[in-house]
Amino acid sequence: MVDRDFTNKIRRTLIYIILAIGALSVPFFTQSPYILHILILTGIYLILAQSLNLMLGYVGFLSLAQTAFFGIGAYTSTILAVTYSQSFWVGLVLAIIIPSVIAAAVGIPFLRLSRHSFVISTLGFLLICWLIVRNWVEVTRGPLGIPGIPSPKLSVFNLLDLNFAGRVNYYILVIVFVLVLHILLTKLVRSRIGRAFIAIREDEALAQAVGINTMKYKMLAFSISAGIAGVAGSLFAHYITFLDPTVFEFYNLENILVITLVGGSGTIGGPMLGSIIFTILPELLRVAKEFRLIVYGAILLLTVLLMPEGIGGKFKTYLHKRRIREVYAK
Amino acid sequence: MSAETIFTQHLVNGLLLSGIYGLVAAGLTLIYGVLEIVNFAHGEFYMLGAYFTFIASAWLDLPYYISVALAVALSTFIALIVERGAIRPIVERSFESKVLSTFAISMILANTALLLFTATPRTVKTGLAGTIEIAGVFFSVERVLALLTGYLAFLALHLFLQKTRIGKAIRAVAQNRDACYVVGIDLNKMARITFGLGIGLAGLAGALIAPIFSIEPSMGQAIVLKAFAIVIVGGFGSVKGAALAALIIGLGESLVGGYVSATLKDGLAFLIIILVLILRPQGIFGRATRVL
Amino acid sequence: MANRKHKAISNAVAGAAMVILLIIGVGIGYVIPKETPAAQTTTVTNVVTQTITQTRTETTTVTVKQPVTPIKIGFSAPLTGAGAFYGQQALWGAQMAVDEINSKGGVLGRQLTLIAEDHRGVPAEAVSTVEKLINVDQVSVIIGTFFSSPTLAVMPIVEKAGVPLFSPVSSSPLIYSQTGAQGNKWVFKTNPSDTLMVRALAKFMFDVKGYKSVSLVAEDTDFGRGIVNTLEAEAAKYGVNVLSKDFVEQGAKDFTAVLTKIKSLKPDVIGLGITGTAQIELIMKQSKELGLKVPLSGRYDIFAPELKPYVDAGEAEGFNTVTPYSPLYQGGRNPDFVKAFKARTGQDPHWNAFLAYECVYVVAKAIQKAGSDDRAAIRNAAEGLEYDSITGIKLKFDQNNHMFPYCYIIEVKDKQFTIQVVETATLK
Repeated sequence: MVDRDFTNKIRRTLIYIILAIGALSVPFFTQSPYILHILILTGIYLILAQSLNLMLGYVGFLSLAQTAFFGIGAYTSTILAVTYSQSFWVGLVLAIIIPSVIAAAVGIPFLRLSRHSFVISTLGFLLICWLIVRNWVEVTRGPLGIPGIPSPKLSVFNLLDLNFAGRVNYYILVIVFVLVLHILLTKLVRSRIGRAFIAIREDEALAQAVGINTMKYKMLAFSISAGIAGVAGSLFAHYITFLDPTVFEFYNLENILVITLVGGSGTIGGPMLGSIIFTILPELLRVAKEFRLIVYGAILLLTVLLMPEGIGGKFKTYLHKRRIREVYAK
Repeated sequence: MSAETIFTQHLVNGLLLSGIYGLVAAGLTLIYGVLEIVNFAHGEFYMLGAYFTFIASAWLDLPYYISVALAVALSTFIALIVERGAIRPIVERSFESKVLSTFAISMILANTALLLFTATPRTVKTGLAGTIEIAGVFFSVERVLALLTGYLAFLALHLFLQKTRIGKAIRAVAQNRDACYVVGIDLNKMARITFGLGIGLAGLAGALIAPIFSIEPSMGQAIVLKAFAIVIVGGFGSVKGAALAALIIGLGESLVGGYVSATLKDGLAFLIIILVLILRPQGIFGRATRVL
Repeated sequence: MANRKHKAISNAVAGAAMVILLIIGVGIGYVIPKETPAAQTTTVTNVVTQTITQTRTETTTVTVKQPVTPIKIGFSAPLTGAGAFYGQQALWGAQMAVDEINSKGGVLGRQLTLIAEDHRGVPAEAVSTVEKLINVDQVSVIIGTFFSSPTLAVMPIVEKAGVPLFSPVSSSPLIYSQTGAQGNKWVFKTNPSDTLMVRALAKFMFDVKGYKSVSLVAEDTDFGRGIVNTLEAEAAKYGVNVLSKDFVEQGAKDFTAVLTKIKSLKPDVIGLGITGTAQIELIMKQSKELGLKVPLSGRYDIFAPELKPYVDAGEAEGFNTVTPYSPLYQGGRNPDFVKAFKARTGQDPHWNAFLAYECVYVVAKAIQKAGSDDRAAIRNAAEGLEYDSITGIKLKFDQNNHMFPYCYIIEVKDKQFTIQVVETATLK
């Protein structure tokens, strides 16, 4: 048994390494700024989708506030870079911390509510953030937006001097974040904390009865997911070099909902698949945005009705069944 | 213009808003009460009601009140299709599934409207002109009629729920689903009727508001949040609560818009959502909240 | 126990993996050659002339034309979404200019092609469209983006990529303060800024008409705020009282609260920082319902068919606007333009259409002067370029890459429109 686990683990690691090498080697094959642009956006939306995935797929709570944290992270990082001339890395750290802290703060009342009210309150939170950012003109410049966001730079002891302004470099930056996040998330969901999340998702009352402090774990998940969304926001802002309140628009939310659910909530690889499909596909079919969203809506609906675990979930079930068959074949 | 007249004017404006919001919220809360679904697509049916009215009156040249009736009928018809195809199959599934299903429907409806009608605002003419002036306070005839029709509809709803057999059955399901199984109430039928009824109310609200403000595909999203605020304040599942909360929020918005700031008046609804959820999650008349 | 050991190893491996990733990432950053801003040079060989000497003493010259590639002009506009009407008008105007130029032989013997992309009014989307136009379509120049925020977003991008951007409609003062000698040499503005236009309007309202008090209502966008701020400053200059200043959300439909408040204040005129025709109609309607009889002034389209009933019923007396263009202007060759546009599209030209039309002609002149479709050459040629507008005024880019065309004050008097033309250069 242990041996099989180990083999599986090695197999998984190998697949991961192959994917990582594949992703990192893309710039050697193509330097087309347009393709890299698509891939960068794919990566950023993937990170944001993982934030939703953590809450919905693992803890089982639908949080519509993820794009709010995305926006907060983006604005934090931007304001630090533009108004206070801080480096991207300082902005990044705070883009993780500030949304996490805010999530913890609003999580205290929100996570006590019934699931229905939680969903609505996260929606209300998103709209309030949007409203605040639009109106707090002194800090955010409101609908004018903040242009001229500098690109990340990295200099270490005068040895290194990297500027991530170029498309290639930014792509690598995003991919590194995606891959590191993948490792961290995998570790998290397989840990005791991750198992607590899943227990809460399956049956919160039972989890409580067994002695799990569900409130603590829900708060933890909410904060972590907010931090992840903040990272995505920071990367987004420094890439587009212009930030305005449209980051809070429903389009981003609808995008990650489709990515996460069709890709497979509750798996780490699912959103990866989803983000590739749903960022690359629309560029291939250059149809009107509205039509695309209608199709997204239809796909989302069909997925919820017929395949709620998503492609990733279906794959996981398939693997699981195969393993059971192998065990019984012995 | 004296301070009292201004105040009264704001109050009157608020009453109209309350009527419209109330219709939409009543539908939303009924649907929640019976089907245990938070219908994220509710705003889109309101929007459909407005657009159907527009099609009937501007493109088919039908008189306004006939357009309204037609719009309500069409919205309800679509509601029944949606109920059969997208809601019935997942009525027993997890809450998140149901929310996502209605969210998907709202995406489809909103973007279809955007594709068909474009974002250019449309207007509907009622052919009713004129303003009534009483003691320095102005009421446009259009608004007064919309207001009266809205409140009449509300009254009809109330009587339906209180006096008719089906209405009582609906209230029973909202109160205790399981007991209804025992008593032999056909839950599927009740679900269908309630969904149709709730959507019909939203469609009516849209049809009534169509000539007063302009119509655009995003109007559904704008109103659904106000409706949520009302449902939360009034209590999920309580029509009485929705009525009272609609008055509070409608009037509140008008006063905030007039005395404080027009941009913040929309924030009022969102703020109320958060405050109520923190301080009194079950709302005024709601059932005790299950924490889990 | 084995589990714990396994776990420790697994964690160590994960940690090592992350460090390796970071190093690889940095390494790749060095290995891949840095991108240089694209300065595309296209050699254009159009015509090859051969001289054939025949056996007789005559010489015949045969001209052989190589297949000619079109000159590509990128066009980024809000073709769908809330600004779709404006984007569509702009596209019509631009396409009409392109067709006219092509029918006369094109520029440098080559035809112009307009490649249009839709940014829906979203700045991030505008960035995407510009990226595509520059890198995939390889355009020589871009016209866009017709909304101020998207234009601000793409300005740094065209600068870095070395592609000239001609912006014919966006009017936010922020754009103007960054162009030409002030910073971004790749961006050119062919229309008057809001600041100048509002100054013209203020002069009309406060100096000519003599209004002594004003209430301001604007949408909560850079456009709305810009207008209101300028009006406030101008009012102070003329000693006019600003009785109130209110902002509504973009796309707001219910103005009754604000209008009720204004009614009690009794200003001489209401200054509007709202441009959507549907909203102006709602304001007019709701004012009427409230019995509010104060003239509306601002930067809206007073000719719109939706407002006609009010004008014809005499309910818009004294209403005035300032616009960068009016189809009613009879000067220059404008009447011909209006006629041709109407024959083509069935609609009157909105200022978006006119400004886009003229912008194409400016771009064509720059390409002609540059002698090639090279991006940098076009930019250089555009600096200080002169252009004769069809409205009759002579225009020239100043050192900030700004042009100063006319703006038009339109007032409703006895159910008719009166037009005054103002030279914006005088308002600097």
